[in-house]
Amino acid sequence: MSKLLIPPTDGVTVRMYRQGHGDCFLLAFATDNPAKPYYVLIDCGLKPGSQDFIHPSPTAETGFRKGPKIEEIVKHIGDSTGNHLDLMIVTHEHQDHLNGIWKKTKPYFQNLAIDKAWFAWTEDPDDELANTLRQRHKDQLLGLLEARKQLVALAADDDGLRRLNRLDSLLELETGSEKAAFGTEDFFAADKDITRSVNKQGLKLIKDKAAAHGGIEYLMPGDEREIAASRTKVYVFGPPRDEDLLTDEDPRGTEAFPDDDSPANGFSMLAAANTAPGDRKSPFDARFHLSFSDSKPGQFVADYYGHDESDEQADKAEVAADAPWRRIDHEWLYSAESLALQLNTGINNTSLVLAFELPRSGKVLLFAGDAQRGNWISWPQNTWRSGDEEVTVRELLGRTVLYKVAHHCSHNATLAGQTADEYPNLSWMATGKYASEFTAMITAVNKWALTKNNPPWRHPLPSIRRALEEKTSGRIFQTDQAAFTRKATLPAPAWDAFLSRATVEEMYFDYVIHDTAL
Amino acid sequence: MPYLVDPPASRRLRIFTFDPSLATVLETSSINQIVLSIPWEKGLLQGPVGEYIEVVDYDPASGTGYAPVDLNDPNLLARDGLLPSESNPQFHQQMVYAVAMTTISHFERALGRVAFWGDRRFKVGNEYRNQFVRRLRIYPHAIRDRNAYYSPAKKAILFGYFPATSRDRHTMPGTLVYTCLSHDIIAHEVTHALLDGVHPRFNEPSNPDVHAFHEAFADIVALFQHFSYPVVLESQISKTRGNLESESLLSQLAQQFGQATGRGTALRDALGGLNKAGKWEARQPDPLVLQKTMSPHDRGSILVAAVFRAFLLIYRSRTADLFRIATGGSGALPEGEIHPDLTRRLSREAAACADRVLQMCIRAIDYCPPVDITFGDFLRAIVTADIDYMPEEEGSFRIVFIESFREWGIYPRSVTNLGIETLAWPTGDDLMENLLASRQGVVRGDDFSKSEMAGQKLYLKSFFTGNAVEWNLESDRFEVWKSLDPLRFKWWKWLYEGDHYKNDYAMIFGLVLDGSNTPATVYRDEHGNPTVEVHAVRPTIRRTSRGSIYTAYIVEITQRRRGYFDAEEQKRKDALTFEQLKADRGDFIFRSGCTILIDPATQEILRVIRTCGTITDNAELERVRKFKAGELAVNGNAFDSGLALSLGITSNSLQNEPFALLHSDPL
Repeated sequence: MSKLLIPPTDGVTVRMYRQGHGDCFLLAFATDNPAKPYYVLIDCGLKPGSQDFIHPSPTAETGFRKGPKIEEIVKHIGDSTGNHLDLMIVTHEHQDHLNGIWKKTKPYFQNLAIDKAWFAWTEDPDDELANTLRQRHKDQLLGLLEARKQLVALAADDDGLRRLNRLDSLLELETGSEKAAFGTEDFFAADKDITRSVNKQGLKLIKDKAAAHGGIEYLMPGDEREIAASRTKVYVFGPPRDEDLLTDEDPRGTEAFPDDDSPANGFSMLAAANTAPGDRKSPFDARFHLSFSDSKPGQFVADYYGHDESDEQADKAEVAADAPWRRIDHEWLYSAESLALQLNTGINNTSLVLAFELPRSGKVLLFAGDAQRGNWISWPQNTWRSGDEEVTVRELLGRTVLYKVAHHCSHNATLAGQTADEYPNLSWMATGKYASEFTAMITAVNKWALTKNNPPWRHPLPSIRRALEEKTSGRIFQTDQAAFTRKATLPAPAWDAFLSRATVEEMYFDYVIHDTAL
Repeated sequence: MPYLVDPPASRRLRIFTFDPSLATVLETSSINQIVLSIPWEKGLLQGPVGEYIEVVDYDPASGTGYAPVDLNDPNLLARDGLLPSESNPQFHQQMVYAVAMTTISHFERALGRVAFWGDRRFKVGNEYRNQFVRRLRIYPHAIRDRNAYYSPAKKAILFGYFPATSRDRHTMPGTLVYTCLSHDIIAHEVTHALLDGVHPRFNEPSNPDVHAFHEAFADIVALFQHFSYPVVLESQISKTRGNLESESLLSQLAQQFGQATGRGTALRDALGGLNKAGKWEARQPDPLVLQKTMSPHDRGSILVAAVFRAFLLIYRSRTADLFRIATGGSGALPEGEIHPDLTRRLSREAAACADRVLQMCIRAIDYCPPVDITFGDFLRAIVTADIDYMPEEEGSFRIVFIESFREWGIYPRSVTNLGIETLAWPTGDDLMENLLASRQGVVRGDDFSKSEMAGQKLYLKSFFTGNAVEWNLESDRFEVWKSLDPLRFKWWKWLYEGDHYKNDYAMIFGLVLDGSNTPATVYRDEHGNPTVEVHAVRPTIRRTSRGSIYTAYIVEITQRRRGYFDAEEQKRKDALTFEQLKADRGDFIFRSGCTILIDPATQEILRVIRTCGTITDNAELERVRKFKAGELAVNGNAFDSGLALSLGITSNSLQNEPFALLHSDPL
């Protein structure tokens, strides 16, 4: 029997894979040929290890049994599509969206044929702004890797190691390499060339495959495409072509990565991290300098900063003037973490955000990638035309019946607000009759996010999850939840109708949306 | 032959008025530096290293340190210290020292006692030890970041520096910005350190106000310190023609920092900010905005706005006569500059009002509950402290605080109206009478109740017999610390071992000492009795209604209980026995407790300041649980828990720096 994913003749089946903490969606749109749907794959990745915290098992030591490996997931995608994707979309360059594509030997996707590929304009090699941003990202990443190396050499205590761990989690997202690889010679030898990171290789593999067939397209906000075979329109909401919105700092956070040549830039944290310790520059004239590495007892540094590792006076009532716990030798490198976090947000905001509009009913499926606030608030800048009518973001959001919740349902990635507000927010979605079908998909493995990260990642953030429960009446798919909870106020028939369109399997959820008027 | 001359009372040191940015604008260049008079420290060493502060100028990112300044060098003594300079690190050392000492003096004057830094608390084996920290350490060039923070773990302030990149008209790209040259950032961070020295557990986040309060309080101190500099004050009064409700440097914090990071204006402004068109606009009080604001800095700015508004209301009413005199009764000033005499008179009023408001706010920190502070509690603390310190005054200052806080939507959770009498924390007598009255058959003022009250007081008196501590404000701080530290243990013993009055006191203080019928999750000793921690015993100065000044004690006591993110798990664990839970640490710690003010001479309990519930209060625990689990409210246009980085980091302050000037968003 064929394992092909066949949607209903009047609609689309959205398959949400349960591969781990990360995104992987297979969409099958009905075409005129019922045996040959149009297959779209959006992202394929996960945070390593998260796959083993999805399926509860009271007998297992962790409380969970191991989940299927990404190889099995990709094989399943192959089986479901006849090893042929009509369209592959990668929303943005983060590990948890694309590490299921490439590996050094036998790339996961080697047997999949890909006709076309869509990326955000930020990937476009002919776009000047995109090139600038990518170059900067590369420089920053290299700088951070260097800072990390210093931190490894210095940070011997628990506090330092914890910080290093947090930095590594962020670097892992940016490069696609697993933490374990960072310290190894191999990593620094091969991936010193960031252009060969796991993430880059994944993107390249998709591009190579698509280029050999139907080609690659880089989408700009305000663009419109049509999936002709199923007459589905696709509206491009983001990412914005605005550097400030991409970084989305409060208000702007590029000081760590200055890109002009002013002399002060030699005094940034990364500048120091990327200079050998003996060659670092100080902003003050040499006549003021005082060596802190050697001084004799009775001299200022020995008395008030100290050199010994042991705290001579730990058993006294008063703290010693030269107590080792008050020193700050590597505190400056801790800034790497906040820089990495900025970098991370910047990349999240380059997420390609797409609204798929079904032709007959006008229902909209919104795939928001990992868009955070800066991406969201840029959406209304775009409008489209349909005949004489103007199509707006507000109106498209109003017709949304499926929302792929941005960034694992985290803080700052779904905006709250009122219908009347000027910026897009949850209240804009699914208004009027569309509310009765509104469904959300959350790609999060909560236990893993909370326990394997420090500080814990609150994915999903309870306040957003609750707002979504309210708005969807319980129609929520979440990677690690095999059952649904109906909101008490929802009538049983409506709930049953939802359940009849939802399928729960160990490896995935299927959700059917009929292209019929509500 | 020694000179027969006393040392001077103060040392004069130059600083940048706010930060180096004023010097580059013609309008403000005349006020870009001022001279501070700070208390003369006899034994000041190079660093400077004094009694309270040690400046250690190590710049690890540059691989070097900078030679310490010697402020006793005659060449410097003769010219009020080094001239303000961005390129001389020794001036940086001088400025952090001068501003930090000024902030410390404000605290000492308001609280009437010597300032202490937080103890270093560490574990040796199973035993906790407290070490006395004589000096706060200041590293003027510790990090290369657009940030600065007080690190409770190191008992040190780490200042950062960074190249500015904003491309607006205020800033030359590539300017190196030193946070240690910002008066406001120094005052802000020193305040964090001083507060850590007052309340050791004060910063544990259990509601959205806790971190916000710390930020706000530090901003309030920095802001009102502006008004103590006459040159600046007069220039700004003149510029605003006496209308302090318009944009001025007085209500703004960290100009250069704000501009260099692309804000186009100061980092924070108690009065308003730039609107969409880039024009400065005053912010109107909004009683609803508090509910919608969760991030610590934003939420804190509401408290700052409320306090600043209280100041403005007082200033307005106190200067109405001056404006009438100056305008022949119309109150409408003519066009042009105001008369220099009027400027001076207005400045004097503004300085007096600001000083009073700052003192009220600082004094209030002795009147806060030991944990779980809310803005509403702070209002009650301000009102009570002011009643105790200025009992004879009719209270217009207290009323404007209540008015302004109400306009910003800040109310205490625990009261049903905002009368001054309702807001004041209860006295020991109030609570004793309530306790007796709640018992059957007791009539107020009858012989039984009189004898019970007398017995209770006698019991308290027993504590002070033999525990008198001799010290005064001139004593060596370490000696004072050594005499106060054992009192903590004695208090603990007094609460633990005692006759039936002990239980009465427990009820008055909101403590639970009886282990029966108490959830198993409450921390116990080996006998199953709930444990109490006595955190701090410290003296505070008070004034009687007849104007004489005397000293009272403040004691802080807390209890703790294991909390679980899962409400069902909480119920399950509550129902176990305490032995079963011995090794269990819970997901977070729930604390409750009280702050008590006692007059050692009369053994009166002057005030009792309790947290909202006792340690057995499940509703309170549920509220904290929801907050810690991130189930609260919405922030601006983003869903947010308001918790910033603190979830799950309940015990280890090493893991993050809660007092950073700026926080980045968590994932």
